[in-house]
Amino acid sequence: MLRRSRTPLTTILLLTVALNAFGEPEAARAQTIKGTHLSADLRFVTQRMLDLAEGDGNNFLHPNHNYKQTRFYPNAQINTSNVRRLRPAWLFQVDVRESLETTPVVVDGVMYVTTAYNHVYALDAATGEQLWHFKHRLSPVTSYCCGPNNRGVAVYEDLVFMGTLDAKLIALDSRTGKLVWETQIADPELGYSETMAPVVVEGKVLIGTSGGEYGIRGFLKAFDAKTGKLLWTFYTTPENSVGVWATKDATGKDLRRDIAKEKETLARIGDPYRWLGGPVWQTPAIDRAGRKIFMVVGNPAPPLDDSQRPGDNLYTNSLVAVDLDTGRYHCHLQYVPHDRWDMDAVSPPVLIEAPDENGQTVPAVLHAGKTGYIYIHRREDCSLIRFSEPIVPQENMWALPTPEGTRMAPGANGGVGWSPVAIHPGLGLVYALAIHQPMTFHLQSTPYPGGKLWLGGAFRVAPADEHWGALVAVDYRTGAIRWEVKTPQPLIGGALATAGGLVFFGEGNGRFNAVDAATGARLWSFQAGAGVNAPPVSYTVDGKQYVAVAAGGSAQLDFKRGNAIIAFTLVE
Amino acid sequence: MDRHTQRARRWFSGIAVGATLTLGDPVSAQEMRPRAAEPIPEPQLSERLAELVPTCLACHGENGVPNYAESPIVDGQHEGYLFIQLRDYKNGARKHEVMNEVVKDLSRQDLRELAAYFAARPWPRVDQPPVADENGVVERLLAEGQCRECHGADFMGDGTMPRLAGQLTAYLVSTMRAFRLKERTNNAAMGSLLDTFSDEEIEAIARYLGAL
Repeated sequence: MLRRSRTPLTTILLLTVALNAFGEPEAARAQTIKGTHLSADLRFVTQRMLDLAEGDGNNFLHPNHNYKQTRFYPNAQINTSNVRRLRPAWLFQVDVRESLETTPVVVDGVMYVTTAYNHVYALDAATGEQLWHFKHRLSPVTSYCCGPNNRGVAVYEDLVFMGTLDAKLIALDSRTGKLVWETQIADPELGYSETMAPVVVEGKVLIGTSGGEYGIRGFLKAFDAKTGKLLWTFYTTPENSVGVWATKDATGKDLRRDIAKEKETLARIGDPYRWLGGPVWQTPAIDRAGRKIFMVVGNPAPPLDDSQRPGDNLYTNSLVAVDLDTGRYHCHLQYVPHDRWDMDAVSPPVLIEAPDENGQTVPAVLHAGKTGYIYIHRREDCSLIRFSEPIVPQENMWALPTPEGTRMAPGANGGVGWSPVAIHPGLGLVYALAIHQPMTFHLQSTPYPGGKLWLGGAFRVAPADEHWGALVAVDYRTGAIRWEVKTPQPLIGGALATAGGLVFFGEGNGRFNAVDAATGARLWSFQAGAGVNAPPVSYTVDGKQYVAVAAGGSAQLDFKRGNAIIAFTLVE
Repeated sequence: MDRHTQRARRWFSGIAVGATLTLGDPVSAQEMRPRAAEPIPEPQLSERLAELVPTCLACHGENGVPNYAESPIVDGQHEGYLFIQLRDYKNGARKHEVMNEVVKDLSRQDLRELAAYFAARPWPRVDQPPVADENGVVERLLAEGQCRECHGADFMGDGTMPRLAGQLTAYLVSTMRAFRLKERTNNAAMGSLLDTFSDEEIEAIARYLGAL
């Protein structure tokens, strides 16, 4: 049986003491749990809880832990000195053996996880016991390019929200798993699907769309959390998507554009915004104080062939900020204008405080790019403060795709793919999962296919023995690489940093690792038996800290599939 | 020739006026062994659509094993995929002189019902000869083409992505070649991808998938 409350005052005080012992700046914030959680019903998620998630050492309330998306967990019970004693506490097997990209969300000792094909489970986070199981009945027509993935739920009050492969948003009763409402977001026959975890703020569920390979028109939509009613839509491809005819990317590299030819095409076919792509397929960051939503927008469609999309293709491959209340455009910065290499902006953006060019700390936004750069922006106007050293080899950028195929690195998976990064604010480091996987980019022009896969050519991956991965720690105050841990395969899934001085990440070969956040020294590893290609989380129940992760492999990188959710805790 | 085939031949000869009708070579008994008798669900179709089913079975096989090498297995194929193909035959995006005629007067709802009907029938066993992937050559090709990213870890497909595992090898070869030659254009991305493979590679992939 699930106990009613898992966060007694003594636990909270113990945690606070532990945190103080480690001297992390977040320790003080963890005390706010006292005021937040000691209510009659701890599973009822209030806006205040969502706001204070950054300092919440018990729950894991957002896919990326908090609205800033720092993935920094503020409990230090599991730390560099004892992590070698980390052992599985339980293992839960979901009913679907297909890639798991889910982030477990934990509310007062209850864990919500999703699977491929849109199942949702509620589990007792201390024992792994199943509380309920919901299986979404998918309509026959679905369109998705890269695996039947789902990245997790959002929680608010007594509701659990999930986007579905058939482009619906559904709300479940968090106690029973019963469907409360569902709404059709877009038409899956036209290439729309949902794989991202939504985010809830001020009673609104925010969700974008996948489908950059299908000629969709990307968007972020806000729905009423109680009713599912659409409140507003921000289209990521404005009716004037042409922009400024930028000839260089955000770092100054020549994009080899033929502007004269593009202008001629524009005059002939008009603005291509209606099927220009620009998906938003990762959870946006929320700046509640600044009243802004920061999202990253994916690739233009078709990704390889530019012959039918003249202009910069705004706001594809961009960081975009919109107004929290209305969804109106605020600012953007485009990383790769007029892309021809599928260089989505996709790893979730993170709100940080960072020094500007003059050394003055300013509200900033960080994004780890498929390009292999980590970009730091001013939150105020999206402008770029700096970009990092390249964290992967950049070979032959930006050589144009040809019918015979042009080899380039990074390949279309990045760089940094969809993997969320983690931040250690005390160390000023960001931890990114990097991919080295060169591809040949083949060009072949085809007309808009009405909702079918539309690549404008083909990607061929270099042989596997040329691939590798790395967990890379970058100082976001300078852009310098501090350390890296090389892995034999490309990394995809996400990182978690903790106040215990640890960074957790998984590998396609089944290894789930903890390294020292300051040095990268590998301190602990566990073989999960299937690819660990999902973002790790941490939470605390009855005074005991857990680390949990899904091990289900990856359709995108074809790592061994499995069906496990594994929670770890310290043995005595 | 069974009665359904006779009926279909008569029907086709009526519609394919002036066209040369090629149904491919009959499948040899050695290549396929019909599955053991299994109960096939009764059609949940209107009388009008149920009357059409024997016409479908004339090529695609009464027990799910196609009667012609270049006709695909449709029994147990994914409903979403079948619907999109039927839709594309109707709107002309996929060209096949017989199929375009068969579906031309059917409504969208008819196509949905037919897709659901065939998807609900069990996938037949055809027992195509096993293929040894010497030195992992085919696996390397499948990895370079990222084939599993869409068709699934075991090539079982889902939704609008077709199951390839156990599909007729001859059909796989012919449809992959048709993509490559741009004779089949209702998934241009497949055409572009298969341009990067040789005929020999396409054949090796088809044999490997057919034997799964």
